[in-house]
Amino acid sequence: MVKVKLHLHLARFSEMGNKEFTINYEENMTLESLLKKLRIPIEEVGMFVVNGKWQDKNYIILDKDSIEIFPVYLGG
Amino acid sequence: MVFKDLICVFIIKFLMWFTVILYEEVIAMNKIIRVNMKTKEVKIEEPKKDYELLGGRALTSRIIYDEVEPECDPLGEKNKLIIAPGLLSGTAVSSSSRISVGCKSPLTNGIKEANSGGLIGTYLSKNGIKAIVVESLPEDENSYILEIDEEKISLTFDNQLKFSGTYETVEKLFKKYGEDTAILCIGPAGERKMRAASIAATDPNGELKFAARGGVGAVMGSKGLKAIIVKNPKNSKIKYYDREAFLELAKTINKELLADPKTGDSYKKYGTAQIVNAVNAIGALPTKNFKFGAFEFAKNLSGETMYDTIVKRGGEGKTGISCMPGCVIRCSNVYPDECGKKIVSTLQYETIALVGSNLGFSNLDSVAKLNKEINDLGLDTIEMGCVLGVAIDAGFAEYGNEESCLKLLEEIRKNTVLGRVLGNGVEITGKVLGANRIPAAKGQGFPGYDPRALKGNGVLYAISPMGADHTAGNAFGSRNEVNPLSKEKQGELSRNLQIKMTTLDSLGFCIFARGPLFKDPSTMKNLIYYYLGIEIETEKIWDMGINTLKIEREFNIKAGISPCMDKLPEFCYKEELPPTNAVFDVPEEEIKKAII
Repeated sequence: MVKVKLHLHLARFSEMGNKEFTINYEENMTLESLLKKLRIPIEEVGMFVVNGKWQDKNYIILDKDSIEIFPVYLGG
Repeated sequence: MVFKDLICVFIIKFLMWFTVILYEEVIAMNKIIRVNMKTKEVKIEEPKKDYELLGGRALTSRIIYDEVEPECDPLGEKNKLIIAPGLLSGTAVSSSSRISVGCKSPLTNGIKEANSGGLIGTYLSKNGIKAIVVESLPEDENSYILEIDEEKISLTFDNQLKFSGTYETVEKLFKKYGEDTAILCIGPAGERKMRAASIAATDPNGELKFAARGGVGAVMGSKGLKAIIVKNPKNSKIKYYDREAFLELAKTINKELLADPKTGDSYKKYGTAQIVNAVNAIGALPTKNFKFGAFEFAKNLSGETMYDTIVKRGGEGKTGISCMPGCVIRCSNVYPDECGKKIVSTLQYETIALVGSNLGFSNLDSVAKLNKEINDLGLDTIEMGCVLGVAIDAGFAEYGNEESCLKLLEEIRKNTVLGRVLGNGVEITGKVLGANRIPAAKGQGFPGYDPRALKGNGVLYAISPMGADHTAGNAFGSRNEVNPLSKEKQGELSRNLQIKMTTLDSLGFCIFARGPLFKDPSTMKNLIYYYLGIEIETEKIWDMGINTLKIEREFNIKAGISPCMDKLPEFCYKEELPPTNAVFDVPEEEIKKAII
């Protein structure tokens, strides 16, 4: 199982409207392919943090990973 | 007639003598108002021909470059305070009316531009004013007010305002000059020439926004200028070259901003505080005087918590407020206490990071209370967050202890020696208190991103002519392109961001409106053409930023800020930042790529 958390307005891409959910682990699934699966356009994504660490879209997801997906931010 | 009365008559006559009434000259557009605080003379000038396409930061920096001796004393008579609305200020396009304030900074000793939302950009443009240049020093101790309306410009004084807080000052000035007035003012910290002093600008709701950084408030204070009042003219001098085309394009941009969930939804609810969780997640959230990059209570300080609290408490609490007329992004808010009574407006990310997690506060109420006090003193919340962090580590207050932090701010209000030390910024505070880690670059405190875990911002703090200033090109907004912990690509990233942000600062745009503008830069070219009738090539748009950054760096080098000072403090290179355990290790040749 892989934990996924969608931040802020990315939650609208979750089927159930949940910000946090789990998905089944699949071999060789990258963060980019996870976005496709969730139908989130990559342009909407500002960054991925996996197990507390920044990762790029080519990161290969491991079983039991905890993935946070943040939208593009414009700064503070 | 008693002696006191004679003095009054003398003062009134004196006031009439130097109050300059200029009914006719003000009528034309694009004037520069020059105010000499020594002679009290107010002049209206035609701008130089090559200032035609300059506004905001491009204009403040250019006037400083042309007129201010780089080696001058920032609080002396040779420094000038320049106030300039952006090039598109007052027009119908969303988020385009920011005001730039420039001078030689008493904090960095280099050139400075700090910009703010509020009403004054719009009202200056509607009055046909391209810039105000305040020069020289008064030989008296009066608190001067520069009043501008469409019929006259006058310089008077009101010593009842002396050393009053920013909130009391604007309340009194609104009463005297009417509600439909834009005010720029300083608090007691600025009047006392403290180097962390900011300049407050009123917004359409009478709330305060701040041109906060670099000690611009101390320069205004050195000039004896307590406030600038700009009335909303009956007849706006904003004239479009092609009104129909401009309004059509403005409508398209506004629609795009509203359709984008970032600017059309999240900013309205969560404001800039929406990034707390994300900065914490990458380990770059300033925590306990920059000793940690993540805070266990970050969730309590997040935009989501802020929004839920404001909605739950109700009363005067509100989100989705515009800080400039016509802004559709509406990221301002009013944060209330448990009874629904306003504590402060606007609670925003940088303050939450520096005054919240950086001082160990796990609740927004304490941040809001400290925020209000810092605002009222007329100080920069970022600089003061750094100052208080250093003071806590030196044993002068405690992490997460509101009372102990408020006590230190009280020292500033009382103008005690300790208060003066703190009010002069983190570099001076750190040196006086014997701190061996001072979170500052070129004399200015770090904003809300630890440069070790967001290395693009480390490059920015080291290279920007503004010192440690996130608004000069925040790498946090870069879209998943560059690993924030990587040593690579940070120089180029920072260079591009600096150019783009300086261009926006010159046009008067808020950086949050950049989506439609950067997607197709010809949009900016077209806005300029439809407004001013001046045609430029699309790729030349960025020259506004490039040319400004070049003259700013040249000014700084002449001011004695050598390239050897393009550095971060030593602790950033050797002290590992948990939880990423990163240090700032971007190679010098990569850092140099960010020099423009």
